[in-house]
Parts: sequence; structure tokens; C-alpha cells
Amino acid sequence: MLFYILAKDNEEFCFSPLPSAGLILGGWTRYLSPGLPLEKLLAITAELPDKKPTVQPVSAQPATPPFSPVLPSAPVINRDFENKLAQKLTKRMKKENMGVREKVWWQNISREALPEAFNIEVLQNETIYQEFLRMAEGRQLAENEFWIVEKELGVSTKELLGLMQKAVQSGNAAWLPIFEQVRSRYFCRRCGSSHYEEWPSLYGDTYTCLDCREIGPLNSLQILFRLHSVDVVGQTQMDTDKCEPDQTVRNYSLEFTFAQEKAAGELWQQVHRQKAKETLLWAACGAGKTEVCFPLIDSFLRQNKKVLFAAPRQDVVHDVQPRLQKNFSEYNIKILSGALPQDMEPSKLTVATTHQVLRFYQAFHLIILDETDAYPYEGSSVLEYGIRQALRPDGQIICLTATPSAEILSRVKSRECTIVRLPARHHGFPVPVPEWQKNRLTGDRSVVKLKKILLELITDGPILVFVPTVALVKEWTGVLKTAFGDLCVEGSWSSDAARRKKTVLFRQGDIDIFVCTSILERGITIKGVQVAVLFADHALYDARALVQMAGRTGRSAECPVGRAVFIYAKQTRAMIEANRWIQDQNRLAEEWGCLNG
Amino acid sequence: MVDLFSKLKENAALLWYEKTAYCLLCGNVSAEPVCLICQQTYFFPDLPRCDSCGKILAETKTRCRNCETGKGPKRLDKVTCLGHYKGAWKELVQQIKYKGQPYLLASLAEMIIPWVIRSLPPPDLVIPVPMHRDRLAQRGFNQAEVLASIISRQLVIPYQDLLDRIKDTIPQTTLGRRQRLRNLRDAFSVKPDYSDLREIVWLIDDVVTTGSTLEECAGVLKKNGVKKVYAFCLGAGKEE
Repeated sequence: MLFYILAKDNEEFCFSPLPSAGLILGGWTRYLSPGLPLEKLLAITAELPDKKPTVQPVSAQPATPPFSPVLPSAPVINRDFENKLAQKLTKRMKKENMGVREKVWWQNISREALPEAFNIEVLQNETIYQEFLRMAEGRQLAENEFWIVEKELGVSTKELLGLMQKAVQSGNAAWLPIFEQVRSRYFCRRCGSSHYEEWPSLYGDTYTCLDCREIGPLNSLQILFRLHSVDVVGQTQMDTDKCEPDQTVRNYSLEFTFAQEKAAGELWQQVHRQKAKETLLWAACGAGKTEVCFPLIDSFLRQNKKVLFAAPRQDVVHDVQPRLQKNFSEYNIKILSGALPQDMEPSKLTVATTHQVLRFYQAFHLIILDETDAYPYEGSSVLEYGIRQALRPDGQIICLTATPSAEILSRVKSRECTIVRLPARHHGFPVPVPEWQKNRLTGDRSVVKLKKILLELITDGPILVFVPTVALVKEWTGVLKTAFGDLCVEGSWSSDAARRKKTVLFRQGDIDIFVCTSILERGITIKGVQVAVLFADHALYDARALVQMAGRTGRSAECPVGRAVFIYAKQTRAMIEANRWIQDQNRLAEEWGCLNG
Repeated sequence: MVDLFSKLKENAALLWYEKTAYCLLCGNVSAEPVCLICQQTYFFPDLPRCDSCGKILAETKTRCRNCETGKGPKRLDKVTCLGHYKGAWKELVQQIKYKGQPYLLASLAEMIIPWVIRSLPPPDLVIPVPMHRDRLAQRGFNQAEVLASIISRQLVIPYQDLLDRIKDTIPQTTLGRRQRLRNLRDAFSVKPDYSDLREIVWLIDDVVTTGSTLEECAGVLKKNGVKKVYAFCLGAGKEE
């Protein structure tokens, strides 16, 4: 998108993609032609030695972190500066060998000859403007997402740009180039990454960010529009005592057990009393950790604060949303994942994949991050940056996991993060400790041996067979189909087009044996399911993955027991650790007196 | 420090391991930028192209049904396209064109070059289909220019940006066949520095649908003395 430098007669300057909107909104009467990408204009104005870095004071402008400078919307400068600016622009265009051949000159913006035609009434219509603010609040919109807002507001591109300019001039929003230069490196403002591809454009060196391409590629010729959240604290904040966790306030879909109540209470203490910035809820697989957060979510929503429930995987997001909707039926719970079309409908409670969170900026008071140690979140600086960026400066994070990483445990140790434990499952039965079966899985005899184990498991319920790679899913789906001709055997992996359909069928009980990679390793509850992990000694499986896979069994109150079998050729450290981890959780649950099974 | 360490680690890994490459269309591991399965699905290397409009033909003939009946372009000497403009190939071309990723074209060079050599007679010049300056200013690049410069550099054939788009037309994708022809009338001209051209040229564009853009450019070039105009595009339709 091209931006222009706009000037007022009283020698004020600002940047805008739409000179005519400047005239209507604030009496900007002149603009410097030609337009250039915002990044180039900022570089030119920053280079001027006598430029005063004064920014027009704007009320209610939130403090900006180092990665999100607000543009100098109106530096006050004298007339000579106008000419210097034009000279600088000409020089810069030559120096960078820009292919723009237009003459650099100041042009008048007059009402009679507006350079762009659009309906002025849209800009003056307060209802449309308020609706726009409601939609875009706490968002950072990339150019390639503007069309969604246009469609939902029923305005044209230029009318939307006018509304955006209005928000920028009121100090609620900012136009930002996609990349920010820090010394010799460039960082993407949306994802914080410095991993980019460089290419020559009409305007010289241009960069495309490679780390957030999945949600729409952005390059340095484009901009981000950030609309800051309206501060609700002070307007509607309730007294903390008035929103104590009280189950009588709403009817949750389950009765809290002693362990859950204890954990919910502790969580409450950490968040509301201790004001902990980050809290880890370490729960056993199937302990009902999502539900334990309900009272906390409720208290934030009742204070009119925004809550985000984020998870790294689509399956988890789609599994959690109905549970939340059931318990918070008065709210329209927004779900954002790559599997669904984007829309701009605002919501107090949002459920999103960690990739989609990159679209927000300082939007949420509370972020509940489920499965913190799961791929692709674990080890991804980009997704972690996205979560931190979406959190308001005064916001709080709750990390939920059954298998915390060494990194988060070390933060707990150094007291950067507080911890709450929930070692027992809600039905009071212990987590099944995995059984080990030695089997090299090569040759006919090993298949016979495997078939024997699976026949035992199938008597208790459908079987989830985990294998480490996609190739093995295809191979073992075939092998098991041959071995169990009378049973329905299916396989799926992350890029399988029929993945969601097959998962639904398995949940409904239409598939007896479901072979998969780690896609169903987490966040999924299937009644009566039994688990077999083939190649449990594979290098890809660490202790946490094994605990998660084993934790799929015995989750529901109707079927609280189950079996998990590790099929292995050579005993590994991960297998020993996984068993020890589960046994430790069960021991703690017993010590708390939470086991009754 | 962490960055330096990760860079060192990355470079050290390169000494021992070959970097895994993936197909640009399906994402599966592939030694070539487009895997063999996707080449068969989208490129149809064994099928002929319509000489007049570049469309992929299902049987051995030289013109598609449209061009046989005289509705297609007439001033082009031969047109060829690399692949069928649909599915993942269409998505990739659109990523390049509309989503600011022209650098992806460089990775496709090893697919483009052998195909263009095989399909078209050698030229004196490589010329891109121009973009109107307003649209170029907005997008920041002309994908046809990037493609033409890659071909020119790889084959050491002179590149000349000698056409100008003097009319900012409505995007062709939004129009029907007849409107497309009308839309492009007098849209192109040869730049004033070039006249009395006597060369054989390759005209390069990203996508061909009816061939009206290429036809209009070829008309202007031939009016200015160009002997033969051959055209190459990344994507075209397929006759069933």
C-alpha cells in the first residue's frame, strides 16, 4: 500500500494512504506525491537531521512496547522542512534506484477535486465508525485482511481506509510497516521473526516474512493496522470479593471433585490475590483442567474483560469450544482456526489456535494456553511471541499441561511462574500405568503377537494405535486391515484431507482401530478408548509424548479404567520416565486422598 | 549470541547433511521444486499445447477448438504454457502474484527453462508483458518482469522492457471473452526509444486465458517490425 505525507497550513504533517480522507478528517490541505510504501517514507523522515521527533500528544494512547512504535502522526515542523522533505524523497528514490519515475511535488487537496472518490457520509457516520472500532479492537490487521472488514461493514476499500485514518488521528490506532529495523536486522512486527526472504522490488530491497506465511504472507511494502483495546479497567471493574469462585453462580456441566475445587481455588488465589503474571496448572491427563479454569473465566467475563483460550492444535480447539459454549451459553464464543473462514465478529471469549493469535495485539486480559508443551507451540519463538503480544500489558497467562517442559519448570523454580497441581482425574481413578510388550514388529510372527494384544484390548473398547511417522500410518493401516478383516480399521495423519471426518467417525464409534501419528495425542476424550503405541522406543517419542498417548485411556466417568500398551524393541529412557511420571502423579493423588477407584 | 550459535549449528549441519527440499505444490519431500506426482497432475509434459493460445490439449493436434474456429489470437506465432492453471499450481501463481512472493519464481527456474527451450524456437530478445504504472506502484513488482529476467539471465538472452502499458485497464480476470478484447484495445505501445525492431522475441506473462493480452502485445510489436512473437506463460487452461 502506498502512503503519502500530508501537510496542514499550520505546518503539521502526517502519513496517510488516502490524501482526501485527510482533508475531510482534519484539514490536511497538501500532500507530497508520489506515494511510497510507509517503510520508505519513515526512513526518509527519520534521516532528516533537523527533524524534531515530536509526536502530537494523544489522549488514551497505550504505552507501546519496543516492537510497536506508534508512527509520528504529526511532527510539528516549519515550511523549509517541506522542501527538504521533497529533496530528500527525490534523492532517496535515486539512491535506492527506485523504478518510480514520477516527479516529486506538493499537491493541493481540494474538496472539489478529491483524488479518490468515496462516500464522505461513511466517514461522518458515527454508527459505522463505532461498529468498525468494535470489530477491529485489539486486532492487528494486515492489508490482505482488509477485505473481510470491508465485507462485514459493507464499505469500499477507500471508505475503510478513511475509517482507519480517522482511528489513527484520534490516537486509538497506528499504521505500521510490516518490518522493523533493529540495527542491521529486520523483524516482522506480526510474528517477531527475522527469518525472511529478500527480493528486489520497484522500491528497492523488499522482504517477505517466512515465519507467519501460514496465515497470509506479508512483505515490507505492506502495512499493519493496529487498533488498541479500549481500556475497560476502571469502567466496569468489579470488586474482586464480589466474584469469588462460586459454583452456584452458574451450573457447570460437571460437579467439581475435591481435587478440582482445591486447584480452582488455588488458581483463583494466584490470579486474583497474588496477581501472578503467569501460572502453570500441572494436571494429570484427563483431570479436567479445562473445567477447573471455568470459575476464573467466569470472573473475568463478569468484569467485562476479554479472555482467550488458545491451543496449538486445531483438534483441541474444536474439542474445547463446545464445552465452553455449553457452560457459557450467554456468550457468543468465537472460534478461530485455519479450518474455518475468518470473520471479524468481536467476542468476549475467544478460542483460537496459537497461529491465529498472531492476529491480535494487546487484546486479552486473560489467556489460557492449553497444551503449552505441544508441537507446534513448544520451541516456536514466533507462536510464543504471538501469545505475549496478544496479552494486554496488565494481562495474565495460565498455562495448562499434563507434561510441562523443562523450560517452564525452571521458570517455576526461579519463581517467574507460579504453579498449581491437579494430580487426580475427576472420576477418582488413577491414570493407567502403561504396560510394556517387547515386539520388534518385523515379520509375520510379530504381527500375530500384536494381533493377540489388540484382540485383548478391543474387548474393552476401540483402539487408538499410535505410530511415529506418516509412512508407518499407511503401512500399519494396511497390515491391520488385513489382520482384522471383520473390523473397521482406518488411519490418519496431519495433512490427511479426510482427517476431521475420520476423527468424527472414530469418536462416534464407527471405527474400531484408528492408526495415527501424534495428531490425537492430546486434548481428545473418547469413551472407552484403549491405547497401543507401536515403536514406543522410536527416537521421536519423548517421555511427554508417551505420557500424553497413554493418558488417552480411562478419561470418561463411564469408562474410568483402560489399558495403554507400549510395543517396543529396546527399552528407552523416555519409556522409563513416562511410567515414572504417571506413577508419581498417581502417588500424589493418593496422598491428597483424591483416589477412590 | 543465541542467534550466532544457531547459525553456526545450521552451517555445521550443512557440512554433514543434505538439506531436505519439499515440493512447492504439495509439500512432500522432493528433489525437484515440483515433485513428479505434481508434475504429472499439473504440467502434463506429454500433452501438446495450442499454438495460438497455449491451452493444454488432450489429443495430438496444434490448435484448440476455439482457435480452430478462428476465435483465438492470430498474431502470435506460437504460445506455450508450463502448467494447467488450477488447484495447487494456480494457488502458487497467485501467491507469487498477489501475495508478494515473487522470489518463489527463482526456485521454479529449473522447471521453466527446460520447458521453454523445448517448446519455443530461440529468440533475440525476452520481453515481459508490461503492467500499468499505477498497478505496478501498488504491487511493487511485475511478476512477468521477474519471470522474463530469470529466463533472460539463465539462458543469456538479452532482456528488454520495450513495451509500455499506456491504459490502466480493468483486470482481465473480471471480464468475459468479448469484453477482454475491448478492454485491451490501445492499451499497449512500444516505448519511444525503440523503433524499427527486426528481432524474434519471446513474450513472457504469468497466465494466459483467452490470449487477448498476448495478442494485443504481439500486434503492437509486429506493427513495429518484430518478425516473430513467441509467448510463454506459467499457466493456461486445459481442453477436455
